[in-house]
Amino acid sequence: MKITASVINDISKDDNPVWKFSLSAGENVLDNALDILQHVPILEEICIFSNDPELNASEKYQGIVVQPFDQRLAYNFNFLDNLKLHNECFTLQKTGSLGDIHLFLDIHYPLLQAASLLRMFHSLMENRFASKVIPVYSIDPHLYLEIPGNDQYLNLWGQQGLDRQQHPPLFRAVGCCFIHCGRLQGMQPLTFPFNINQVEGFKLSSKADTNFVDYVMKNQQ
Amino acid sequence: MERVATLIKVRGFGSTLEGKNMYPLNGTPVLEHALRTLKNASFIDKVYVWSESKEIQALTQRLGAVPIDRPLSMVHYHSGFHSEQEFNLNSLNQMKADNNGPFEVIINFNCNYVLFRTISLEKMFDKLMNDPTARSIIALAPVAPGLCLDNGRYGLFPFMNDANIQREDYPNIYRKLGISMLKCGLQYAALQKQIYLPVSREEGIDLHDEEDTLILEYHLKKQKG
Repeated sequence: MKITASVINDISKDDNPVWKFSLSAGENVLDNALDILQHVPILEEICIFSNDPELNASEKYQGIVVQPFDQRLAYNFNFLDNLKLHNECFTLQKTGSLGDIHLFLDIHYPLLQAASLLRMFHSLMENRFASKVIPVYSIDPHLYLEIPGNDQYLNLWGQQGLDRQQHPPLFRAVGCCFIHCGRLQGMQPLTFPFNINQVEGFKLSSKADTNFVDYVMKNQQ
Repeated sequence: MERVATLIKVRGFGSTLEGKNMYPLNGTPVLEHALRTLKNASFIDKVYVWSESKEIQALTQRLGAVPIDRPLSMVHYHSGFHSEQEFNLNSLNQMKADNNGPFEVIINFNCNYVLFRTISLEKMFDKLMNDPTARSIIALAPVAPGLCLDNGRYGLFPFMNDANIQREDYPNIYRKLGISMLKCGLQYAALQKQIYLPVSREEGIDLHDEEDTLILEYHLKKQKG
């Protein structure tokens, strides 16, 4: 059984390529992502999927193979979307990019811990019905949807007078996923959560966000 | 007789973080952050803190707010001894007695929202008072889409989460915060409209447990510049 991993560097929605942002530890965001993966001891091969022409110009980055992915697939790395992800994995497996079990790590989540990724792998192996495991963190209920134009809000997820703890919990899915390719293609594709804390699931969207990432990294040392 | 009062309901301990309301964030207790925010809002005449804890009552008094007694039987939300209406009656009656009469507007302020700003309170008050059809106003904070529900044995189920829709094209979602204002005099159904004021995402950060303290301390430092 071959276990592989890839860092997804999708720049299509970024004003500035996030991978170049430098962190106070002296490395950039891409180095940090590779560093996280290199601390997950079960991974045999790591590669970078990127749609950044600058990164794709060379075949390797820090000794890691860089593989371009089709721009049309850029939005398909939604790990909850079974159909698109299934097609994506099928294509990638044919090119030999994916092992039997594969870990995708979106570069926008620099605070994910290698220890959590290892525990995610174990939870994938322990649940024989799971084809995917995704890290999630909980979101408070009492959600409202804005009705544009009339300053009104529709109650979307909440019951007036009912305590927060009594609502069915909602989660935010983090851009990372352990996939069991055989199960994904051979059985009902069920996705299971792996609970992490909100800080670990922090999404880096702009240069200003690196201040928070640096603050957390400094406090965690 | 004063017009506008704020009520903060706090317990001496917390269900998710022990001693949450006295927890020091950047060296200042959570409750003190709230009391300072409220003190800066010039339209608020009086701030009441309803608590059973002597330590909280002492801090309240030191910062110029009014402590009112919370009976021990009203400390737990789901103890079964009292309903939430009885909680409200108990606290509001004490406020009314202290003021020698009812207030025109009562603000409910949950001190978990450490980053909530005075300017947002002022905006809420203006919006409520300038709308004669509104009875109450609630603060809302934006929430990004891309959510899911844990469906138990069948795993995760997408909620406001579609791979075909880009994040910025989703309708806006907000979360109701524990900060509201109520016009007390209006009783008629026609005037019972609830209105809302969206505030920033940071202001909606809710202190639940220890992991949130790191986020809050970062933003508090940023707010102070």
